Amino acid sequence: MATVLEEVSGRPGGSNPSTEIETVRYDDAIVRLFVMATLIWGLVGMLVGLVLAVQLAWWPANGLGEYFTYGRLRPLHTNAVVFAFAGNAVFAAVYYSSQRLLKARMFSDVMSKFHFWGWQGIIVAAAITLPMGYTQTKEYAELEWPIDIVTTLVWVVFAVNFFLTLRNRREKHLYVALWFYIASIITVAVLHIVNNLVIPTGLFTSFSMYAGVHDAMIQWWYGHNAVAFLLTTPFLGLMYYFLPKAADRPVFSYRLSILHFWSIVFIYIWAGPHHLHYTSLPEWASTVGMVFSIMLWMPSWGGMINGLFTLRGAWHKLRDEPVLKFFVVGITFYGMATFEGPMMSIKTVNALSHYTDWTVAHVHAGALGWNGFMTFGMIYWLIPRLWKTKLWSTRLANTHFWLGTIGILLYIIAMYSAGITQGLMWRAFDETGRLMYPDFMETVVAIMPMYWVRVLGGSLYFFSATLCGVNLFMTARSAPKDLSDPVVQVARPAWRDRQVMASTVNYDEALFGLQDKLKHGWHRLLEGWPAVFSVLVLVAISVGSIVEIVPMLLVRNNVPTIATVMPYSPLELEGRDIYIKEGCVSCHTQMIRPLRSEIERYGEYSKAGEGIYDRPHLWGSKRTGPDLARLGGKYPHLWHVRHMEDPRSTSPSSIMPSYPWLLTKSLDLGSTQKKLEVMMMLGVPYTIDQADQAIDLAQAQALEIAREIAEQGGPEGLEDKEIVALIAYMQRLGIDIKREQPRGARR
Amino acid sequence: MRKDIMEHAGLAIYAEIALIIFVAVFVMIILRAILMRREHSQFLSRMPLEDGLTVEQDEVSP
Repeated sequence: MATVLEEVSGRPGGSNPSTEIETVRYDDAIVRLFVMATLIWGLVGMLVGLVLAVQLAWWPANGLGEYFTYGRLRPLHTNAVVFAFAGNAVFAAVYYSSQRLLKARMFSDVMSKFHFWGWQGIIVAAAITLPMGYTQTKEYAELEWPIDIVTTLVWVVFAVNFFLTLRNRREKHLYVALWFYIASIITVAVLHIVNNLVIPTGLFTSFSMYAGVHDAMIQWWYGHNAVAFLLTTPFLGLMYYFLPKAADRPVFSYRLSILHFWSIVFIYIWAGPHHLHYTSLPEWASTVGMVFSIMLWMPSWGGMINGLFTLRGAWHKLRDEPVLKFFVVGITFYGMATFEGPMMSIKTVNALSHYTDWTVAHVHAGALGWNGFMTFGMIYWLIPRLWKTKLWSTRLANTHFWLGTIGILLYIIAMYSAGITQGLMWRAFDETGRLMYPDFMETVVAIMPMYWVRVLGGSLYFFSATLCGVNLFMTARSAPKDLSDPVVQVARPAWRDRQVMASTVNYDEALFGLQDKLKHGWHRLLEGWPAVFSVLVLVAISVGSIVEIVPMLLVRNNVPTIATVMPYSPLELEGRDIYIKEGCVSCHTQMIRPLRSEIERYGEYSKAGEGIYDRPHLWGSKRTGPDLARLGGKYPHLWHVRHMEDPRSTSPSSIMPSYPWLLTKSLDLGSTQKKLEVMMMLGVPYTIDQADQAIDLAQAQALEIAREIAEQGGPEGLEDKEIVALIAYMQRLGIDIKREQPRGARR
Repeated sequence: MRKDIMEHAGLAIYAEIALIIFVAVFVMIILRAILMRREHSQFLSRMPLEDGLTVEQDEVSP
């Protein structure tokens, strides 16, 4: 252990422990590192987002090669902003505020450094593997299993370092910000492990332990709570610490903060299924998700009001204090996003908003407004304190604020407009009862101007964030050479000595001691008891998870099986993995909702029983292109070849990237047998013969498809190319339930 | 087999128990927050503003 606490203490008070003074050095070097990482990765993540925005508005921007298409870059953007930008910001907040609230240095400098460099290593690994196409496809959980294991290790080190600092604290009571940190650390660990349970099929490939509707349920339990416990609770901790500091007055209502905390922890965990309304998720689960989402309205707004009212009597400071400006707008966006979220979870609203850019607007109001502005507010407050000099330019910080705010507004207004326009067009019927816009492309062309407005808004936000980078860089340049750790003197806490003495008391004294402890009530006792407190948080989040998820996994009625639905052929399985690798799921859903307009447009609605061999599920969450659940048999093979080579040749105004390499890259069947074997292990009814002959079966099917393509007048010799596997998979989509008998002779 | 057992185990009661625990704990927390003594909540709310007494580096023993 490198260093624990540097204590230089005198004992002037002799036997009276309360007069002892201890000296504590806070570790601010680690906070500086996290602040710099926040800004660097934030700029990278935003830049990738900007590239994506341009690719959507102007498809030729996808032409940088196979590693830089929209499908490959989209998870890079989300992972970068969620885990690299917001993640590092959270760690900066936790390391700075926890040491001061606990009046103790972080338990171990080595662990802090391991956490920092480990986390940056994970980000670099993500930046390399995601464009290469190594992905689990589940949103915000795309990273493959080796990186997941490293993430677990780094998170455990962080948790141990944090909890041992709690043990070493000199302040008995845990301030509410620390509760939010505790809840975040515990819940993220649970979510990460449960949602990433996979069986590897190779170094960077795997199949999910769950299939179809189960996989979707677990994924959105995770996805929603990643938003809750990485982008909400730690940022609320940040708010409860840094806002009072910046405003120089205590939080408006501490009581409200207690209610805010427990409500969030209890309720958030139930809300995940609202991401799956009208899907083949059982109705009861979706309704539970909706009800709890609406319940979230209250605590979220309680928290927002608590934040804004903290500024009572300090509003004049906003005029020249950029930190407070960022905080006030950030908290306002928290209120907006947490009003909108419950509203979107109401099924009838969701029927319109889901799969459209409305969702994109919603998350960016949260990410740019709440997470972004709270982070920038914190950074501007921290810079002069961490680098021990004046901020280089307050004016530049104010410019950042205004440009950033205009950027957010342009972004979200454009996306609201695009989302609602497209949602209404998808469901519009003419007077004869037919779809008014049967061609999906019409609904894409209509929103293109809005995509350009988003590029403008995103550019402004990105540019404004670079100003923060300049400000930090220039301030750090003029900082004193010797940035030593700040040193404070605190009274040695009397309660620690009492703990030491506790072992010597007899039965009566122990009882009196307990009575004394309970004098101030059980919650106060709890606050001084972090281990028990943490367990209670774990119980609170587990109740919701278990009640919702376990019956889903166990009750057979939830997934009625369909006799004609059969496992994928080896070639189709390979094609599915190419679909996953190229990130097709970023823009195409495979989930037709039982709404009249969708059945009219795409065909019979999707059933839970259709996905029992889908590991992972590929339902998707956004329709930039049309749904593909019933694509099988809709077009001849040649159409798919032409469409993949150049989408404009079959759909003139398509914005889809071209995938010419699918026609030239050789199909790798090296792990096909292994894939079938893993599927068998997971309960998919392949025979041992099928697994043994997997390559032969795949090649035979590929040959047949290639022959048909040639017969239809297409290029020859495609039988060993990736395209045939992808076509095999796409032609299989949604056709099993149309059969009267299960497909007989399996390939 | 496993699913048959689980279906006939009468698990519905667990959800109801969970709901009751949820509401009961919630009521306790609300009562606790409402009944909290003003001085105590004021003490707690001032915690971020009191970081300890900052001292100069050279005041500390070398």
